[in-house]
Amino acid sequence: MPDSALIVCDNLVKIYKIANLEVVALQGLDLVVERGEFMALVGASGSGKSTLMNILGGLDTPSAGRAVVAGHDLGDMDSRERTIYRRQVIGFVWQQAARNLLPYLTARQNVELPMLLTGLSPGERNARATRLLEQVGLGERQDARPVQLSGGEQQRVAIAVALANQPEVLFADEPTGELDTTTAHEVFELMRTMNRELGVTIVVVTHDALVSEQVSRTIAIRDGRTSTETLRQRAVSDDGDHHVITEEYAVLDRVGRLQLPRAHVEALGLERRVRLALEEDHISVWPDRERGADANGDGSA
Amino acid sequence: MGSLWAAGMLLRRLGTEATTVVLLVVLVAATSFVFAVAPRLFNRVADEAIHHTLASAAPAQRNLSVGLAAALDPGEEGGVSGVRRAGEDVASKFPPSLRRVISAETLRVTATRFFVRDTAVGGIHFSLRYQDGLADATRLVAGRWPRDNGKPWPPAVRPGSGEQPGGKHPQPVTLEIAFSTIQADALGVKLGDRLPAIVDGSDPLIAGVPAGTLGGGGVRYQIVPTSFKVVGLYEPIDPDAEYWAGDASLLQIQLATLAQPEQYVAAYFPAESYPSIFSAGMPFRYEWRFVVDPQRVDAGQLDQLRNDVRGLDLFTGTSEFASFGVPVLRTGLVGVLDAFAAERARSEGILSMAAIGPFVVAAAAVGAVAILLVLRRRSSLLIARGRGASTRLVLGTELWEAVMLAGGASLIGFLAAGLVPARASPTSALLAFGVALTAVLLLLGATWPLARRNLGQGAREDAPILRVAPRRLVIEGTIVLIAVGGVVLLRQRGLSSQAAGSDALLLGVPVLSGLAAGIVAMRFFPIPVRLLGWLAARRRDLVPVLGLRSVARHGAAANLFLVVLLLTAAFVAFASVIVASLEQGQLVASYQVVGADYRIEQTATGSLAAVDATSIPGVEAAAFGHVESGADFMSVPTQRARVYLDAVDPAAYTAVAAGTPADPHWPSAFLADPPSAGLGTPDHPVPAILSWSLPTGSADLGPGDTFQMVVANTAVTFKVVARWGQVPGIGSPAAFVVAPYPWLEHVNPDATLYPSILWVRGSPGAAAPLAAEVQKQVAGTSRTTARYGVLDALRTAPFGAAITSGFGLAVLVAEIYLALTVIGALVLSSARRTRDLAYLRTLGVTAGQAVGLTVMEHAPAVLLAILPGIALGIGVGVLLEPSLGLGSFIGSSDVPPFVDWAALTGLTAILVGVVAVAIVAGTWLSRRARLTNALRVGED
Repeated sequence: MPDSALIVCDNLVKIYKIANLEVVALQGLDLVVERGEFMALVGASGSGKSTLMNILGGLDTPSAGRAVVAGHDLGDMDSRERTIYRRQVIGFVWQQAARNLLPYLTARQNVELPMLLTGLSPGERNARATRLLEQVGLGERQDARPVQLSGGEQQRVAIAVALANQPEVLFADEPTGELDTTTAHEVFELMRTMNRELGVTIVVVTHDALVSEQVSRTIAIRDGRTSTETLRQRAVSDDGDHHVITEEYAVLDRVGRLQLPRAHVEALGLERRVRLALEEDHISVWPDRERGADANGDGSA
Repeated sequence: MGSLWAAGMLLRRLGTEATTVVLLVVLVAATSFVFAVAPRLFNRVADEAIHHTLASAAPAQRNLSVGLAAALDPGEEGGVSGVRRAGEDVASKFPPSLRRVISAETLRVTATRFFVRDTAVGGIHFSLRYQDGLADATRLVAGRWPRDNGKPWPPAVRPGSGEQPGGKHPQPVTLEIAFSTIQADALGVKLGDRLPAIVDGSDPLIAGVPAGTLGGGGVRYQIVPTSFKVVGLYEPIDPDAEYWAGDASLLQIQLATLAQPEQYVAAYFPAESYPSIFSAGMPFRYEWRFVVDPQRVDAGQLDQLRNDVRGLDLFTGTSEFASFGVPVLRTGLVGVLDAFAAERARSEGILSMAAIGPFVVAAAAVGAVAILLVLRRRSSLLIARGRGASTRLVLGTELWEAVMLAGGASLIGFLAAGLVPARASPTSALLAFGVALTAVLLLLGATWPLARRNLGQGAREDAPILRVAPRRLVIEGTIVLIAVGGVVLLRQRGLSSQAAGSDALLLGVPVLSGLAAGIVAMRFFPIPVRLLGWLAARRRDLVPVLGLRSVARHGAAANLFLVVLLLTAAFVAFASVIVASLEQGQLVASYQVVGADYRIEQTATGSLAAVDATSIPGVEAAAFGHVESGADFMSVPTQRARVYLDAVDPAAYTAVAAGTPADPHWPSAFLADPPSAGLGTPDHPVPAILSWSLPTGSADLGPGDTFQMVVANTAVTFKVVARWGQVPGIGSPAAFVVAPYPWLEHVNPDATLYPSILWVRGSPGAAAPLAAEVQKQVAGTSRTTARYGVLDALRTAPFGAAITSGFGLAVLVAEIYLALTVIGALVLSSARRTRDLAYLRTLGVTAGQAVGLTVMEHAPAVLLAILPGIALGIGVGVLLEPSLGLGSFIGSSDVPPFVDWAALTGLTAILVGVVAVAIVAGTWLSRRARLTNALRVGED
């Protein structure tokens, strides 16, 4: 585990029991997030990404494995420690804009709310709330209530609320799910700015592939495990054009398990069994010898 | 097919909302049951009350008596058989409703009065009387019961007619009679004595015989030498038994006047002697008594019975006999029934007020569940509207469903009420229908906003109410104005109004006042809460800030909670005032009746001085006094006047009555020491308190004036020091004089003014030893009255008890509905509250802070609703109480409003407890959702 890692999930398992039926939401998930990173977790519905967010957010506890955030082992914390953790270590932004804020409080009062919990003086609360609201571009709308704000403005206030106690990590669960493309882009831009200026680590959960393109690293979760990891780098070509280089990696877990990308599996008609061959600098994956010979005679993957 | 499909759809929909639907059905059915069973229970109380009223009434009032002055043939079967047949003829005229309640019939036959001169005590006016059942009601002490000697009396003749009774050689006749031992002692006669008698010419019966009948009017009769032989002496088994019907003629003697001490007595003769006496040809008085059995009367027959008795084809009079040969009906039954009807109507009016509280709170509870049901189906209703269903269609569907649910539930409640053993009442069906109608309207009312709502508003469901529609403000303002007008009208109509039964104004004003107060509280409630929130924001504590801001901004559920709580508090306080006033009135009345905890009266000549009450454990103080029910009041110059004299030891009585409603606060002159000489003379008059009413012809005496009375055979001069309306413990004499006993004791050293009354202050436990002491010292000649018994009788009288228990029950039912409403209101807001709390928990709010928030969200509402509610309830109670006529339940003219602060504090504590439990239950229901589920958005 690298020293710079802020979030580490090691073989994380979460099992729910619903009506006498056990559902394994996380099946030994591994994850490492570096401090100051702005990354995304993507996955289809039911893949387990929200379960992971609940565990990392201190709202739920893992059934097995280990989850450590900023040095806090989430499996070992009691209720009181989790409360302190939620209060001081992390911040949350939820999908539905209206649910991120208390409707009977103004934007300023909503931002001051987490600071009240840490016992900040009224003066400090006031100053920090003003600064945060100005940073999110709502300096003029501090006394508006949520119902008087647009969806994008509400999410901006929600980001300010999440950052009120200067957390080390900001978790955002589908933060732009209810916003139009332009507003969503603005909200992402705001998060990127906060990541850059405040140095806060941001983990965004989404099932939208386009959203994931906004971040430098995207981890895909499938069937309760991390399946692929996509890295994006901005590069400048010889003629001075800016472009993004995207590389997708399969994730190898601690015991050597690997999830092949679905597209690859389907393209080669891989089923049930494959043959592996260790080459000098890579591993070849071949379809089943007999079936592959029957199919095309050449089974190189 | 279409109907079946619709029914199937409806059932499927109800199936998905099973919990809420079942809750609604149970609530409506329970409410319907409560209101349908109430009239049946009231009928039961009314039946008990009429039994109690009739049983408490004097027999002469309750029963019917038909009197006749005539000479009825004895009949062929001898004895009084012919007279009995005449009685049967009279009874045959009675309508079935009256015959049904008569349990027995007795006969009295009284012969023309005789006069006996030759006795030791002077003249005796002598009535001969036969009365059914005497042998059963008495025991023979000496001799035997009289028998007929078989010798008819010769006809009586007129004096001066030249005729000789019994012919030229009249044979004397003897009639065997029996006396009571008391009569015999008073007359000085013994067993075996013969009393020679002549016809008493002063008998009004003879004087009233019309001319031409039995020899003409105003005649005198002469009879053969007649004597009455005393062959038996008897004494009553129970002199207070109903058999005597308040007529002690066969037990005691009566004195005419003090100046002319002639005695009147009735002696018993056997029925078989009637033909012998009848043969003398003189008239008789007959009286047929028809005994009404209270247990055979029920309140449902009341009107029929009253009308039938009024419509009897008999001359109705107050004197025993009107004119010769004309039957006269005497009864107080109509008056008793009229008084009962008025009391019942008054009880109905008061109890219908008691029903208002639970009804309003029940409506709120049903309303809360109705809103819950509609919220549950909110999305489906909006989908239906979005796909083209009109408002009318949506409301029409809801109407049918509401009728099915509420109507069915109400019918179940109504039918269940029918299982309660009590007389049915048509009001039950009306009230059950009213409950169903209210529930239907509430269900429709809850659907109305959704059915009328702009479909585009769907996403704004959580927006707190910040503004109130002008139309609503106008409606609310109108209600407040009408309520104020109602209060003003009620006050102007006069608190002395003797309204009976259900009075629209009396019923409407409390409801409107409660609604108006609720509206005012609802509108002004956020102001102090916001102020407190602003102050709390100066501090570093999250809970008060957030809690108060939440309360100030959340309308719907909080308003329902607030208004219902305020109305319940008002009702509880109102009920407390009414019940406390009644109970205080009963307490005061018990002191007025007895004058102390115990009163011992001497019923015969003698003294109570030997009774040592103060040495008895539990007795705190005792005061002797002397009473004369007919003292000569000499300030009326033209005629003889009697007043009630109450000679009381002021200092001792003050010790007995101090701190109680009987505390008289004597004038200072009463407490002064009497002078050593010249007492009761014009120079040293005895201080006296005079009643407001004085004997006819009295001069108008004011403080400082003097008057004279005969006390201890001495003319005593009194000086008026005060005029009072009543004095505790002396009943209700028309006129009374109260004077200090220590003064009167010495007005005549030769005539001892013995103590004839003793007032005692003591605990209930002192009753038995006190009775033993009285029995030991003055056995058989005294009567003890315990205030505790009087109070118990007042409190257990059916209508009074029904009002007390009715209000108690109404408070209990209202508090149950309040709890349901509070839980309903919390469940209504649970989605919002759960989400808010979950969100706050993600921000780091601890579980303790979450509980604190819940408390902070409700505590201001509880305080701001209960305190004005209590004030409102007290105000309305004090305003209306004098109009309710509670005095009629305790035999008093008025019962002033009374607030029992201790009881009210207890009730308020119970109310707060109920709300607290309901809040805990509602919060628990709201917090069952998992934190992650409450925040769950998007997919896993």
